[in-house]
Amino acid sequence: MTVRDLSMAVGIFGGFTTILLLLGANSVGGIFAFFQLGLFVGAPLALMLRGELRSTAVAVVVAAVLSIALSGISVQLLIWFRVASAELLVASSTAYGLALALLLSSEDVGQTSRPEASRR
Amino acid sequence: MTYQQYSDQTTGRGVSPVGGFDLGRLDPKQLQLSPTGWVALAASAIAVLFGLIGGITADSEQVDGFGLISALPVIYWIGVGIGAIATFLLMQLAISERTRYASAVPALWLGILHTGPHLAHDHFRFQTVWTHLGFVRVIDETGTGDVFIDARFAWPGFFGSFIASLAKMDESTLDLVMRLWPTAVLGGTAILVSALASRSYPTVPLIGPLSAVSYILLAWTGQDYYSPQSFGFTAYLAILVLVESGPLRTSPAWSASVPFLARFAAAGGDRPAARYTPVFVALVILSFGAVVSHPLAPFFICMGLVILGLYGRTVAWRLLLMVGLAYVIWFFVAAEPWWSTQLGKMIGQIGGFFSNLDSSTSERVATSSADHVFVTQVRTYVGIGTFLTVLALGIAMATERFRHLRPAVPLAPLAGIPTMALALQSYGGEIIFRVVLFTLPIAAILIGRLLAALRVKALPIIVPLVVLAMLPWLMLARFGNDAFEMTSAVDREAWVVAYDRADDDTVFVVDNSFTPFQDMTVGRNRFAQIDARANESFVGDMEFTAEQVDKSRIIVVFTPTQSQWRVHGRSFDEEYLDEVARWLSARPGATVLYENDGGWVIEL
Repeated sequence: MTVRDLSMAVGIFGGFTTILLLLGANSVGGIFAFFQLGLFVGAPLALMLRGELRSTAVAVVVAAVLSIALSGISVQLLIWFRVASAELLVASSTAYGLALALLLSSEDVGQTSRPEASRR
Repeated sequence: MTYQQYSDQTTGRGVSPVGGFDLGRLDPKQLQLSPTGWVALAASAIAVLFGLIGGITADSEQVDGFGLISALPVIYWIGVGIGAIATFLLMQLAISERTRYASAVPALWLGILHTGPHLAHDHFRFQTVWTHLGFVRVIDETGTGDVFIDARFAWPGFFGSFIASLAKMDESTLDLVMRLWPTAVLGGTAILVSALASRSYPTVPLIGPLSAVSYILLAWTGQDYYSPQSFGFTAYLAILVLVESGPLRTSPAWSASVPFLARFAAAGGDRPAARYTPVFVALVILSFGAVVSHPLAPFFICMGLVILGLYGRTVAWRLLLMVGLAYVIWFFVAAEPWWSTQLGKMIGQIGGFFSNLDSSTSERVATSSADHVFVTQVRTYVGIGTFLTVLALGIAMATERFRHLRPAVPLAPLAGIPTMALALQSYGGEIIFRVVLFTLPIAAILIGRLLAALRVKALPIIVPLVVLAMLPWLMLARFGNDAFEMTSAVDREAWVVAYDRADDDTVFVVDNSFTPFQDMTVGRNRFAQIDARANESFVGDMEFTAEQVDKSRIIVVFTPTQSQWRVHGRSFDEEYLDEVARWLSARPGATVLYENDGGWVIEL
């Protein structure tokens, strides 16, 4: 997993969910948006950490927990603050994902996942 | 000779696979099992099969006061016996094979003990799960995920509904997915426990599987896996694993210079923060997810971070600051409507350590069923036994004689710190169960270390014996409480009738919430609980409640579950509910929609 891969995943997430939301705000498409938020950001993030977690099984569990956490945060924000515009939330999430990718680009993620690179 | 010495001798390594549960390390080309190994794996498969068949064929109507264990057929128990033999055989394998296939042992007991009984019912029998399933209905029927859905109360239902919608599942398939949810949570947390064990004792062979087995055999708080705190709990374990992963383990700070603290754990000096950012981002997401999901879990996370901070994990302080800030914002902004009505009660319980603990036990025991009292006592004693074991192991590790048992992670303080929650509040009489939930994983690792310290020849005997000795108590504590929280066929029939009749303008009146009440099913229906008086003012109260929530139709639903063994402190017995129902049905304008074996649906 490289920063470029993550950026691409976030971009796909943002574009796809925005289309779904435009089809019908507050609909099933809106629900899927939250699920995708978790899946497209949480799972790649956990896979990036696989080198540190040193176990595929542990990485899968962490990916699931991260996905639920991200979806949960989005849903709760919507509930608590009564954010009327789900599109705004998706756009913010996409921006957040891109910012995350930008943040990570300061590190050579693709290389440091290899043991010999992490020892440097 | 200890297991580790034997391992060092025979393999020349002595280092366990880090991660412990890592099935990804299995290479099919290296599957050269001895005859004993094949027999062990075959026995494991048969044991799991018998356990699952036993669960499916169990007659759930035969459940008595001791819960599901009274209804499980002989084949289930044969599966348990074969499982013990399979454990023995797996432990007999040569050292190289044993390390590789030991992961089958926790998987075996997870399958038999926790999955089998969940398949016993033909429908969901727990009222909380019915509430969760309301999400599926509301999304299916209205096509909306409107903001009124308070998803944090039902992550299983929330994500179950996603899966159901994506796969176009029917209700029975979804039902099965939901019944396997607790096993998924337990399996996932067992993997995290195994990983944390490997980080705590990186040179001890078998520590991952042995810790996972200990955890699975002590995990009697399974019903909680449906609640939002199961996510907070899983997040807590994932946070511990991540903090103890390479980048965040810094050199021992001041803890090393305080001998008393250093005795309990040697903070691991590891690599510099090479990949700090992604790990920290993941930690923040997990922590914030826990904050928005459940009010109690962040407290345990904060306490855990304090311990990790004291033992030199510098990242813990930064994370603690962020979690604390998020918690405060959550409390004063988002949760204001809740705490403004609960504040007096909450503050009143702070500091009441013993009264909160006493509340936990005495309130639960104060029921009319001797069986329920016994089950509750078993749960409490198993919990207390866990605490005492951790205490003894912590003290032992602090001595020079057992110095070799000290982990690289401060396990004993992490296991002890959840007891701080007892000083907060009684949590509706259930705080002790929550404390046990967060103590158990760490205690399991310490117990796993104790098992790994056994002499190599003793291990194949001791582990199966420990398994068999723990089984009755686990089964009673884990499933014994079920009988008091299950719904019946009459409950379901009554609610089908009620929902068919109801519309958006309806308020349901029930005895208590222990009923398969899908409170999201019919738009924005609300329910109210009845009062003790069967008279005109009681009806007036119902009309007033309906008026308050802007409803005009009142439907009263009484079911046997609501009065079963007086499961709820405020519930009434069946005879009294029958009396109330007959009195209500005789009123002018009342219509009896359903009446059967203690179940009543009356429209007023």
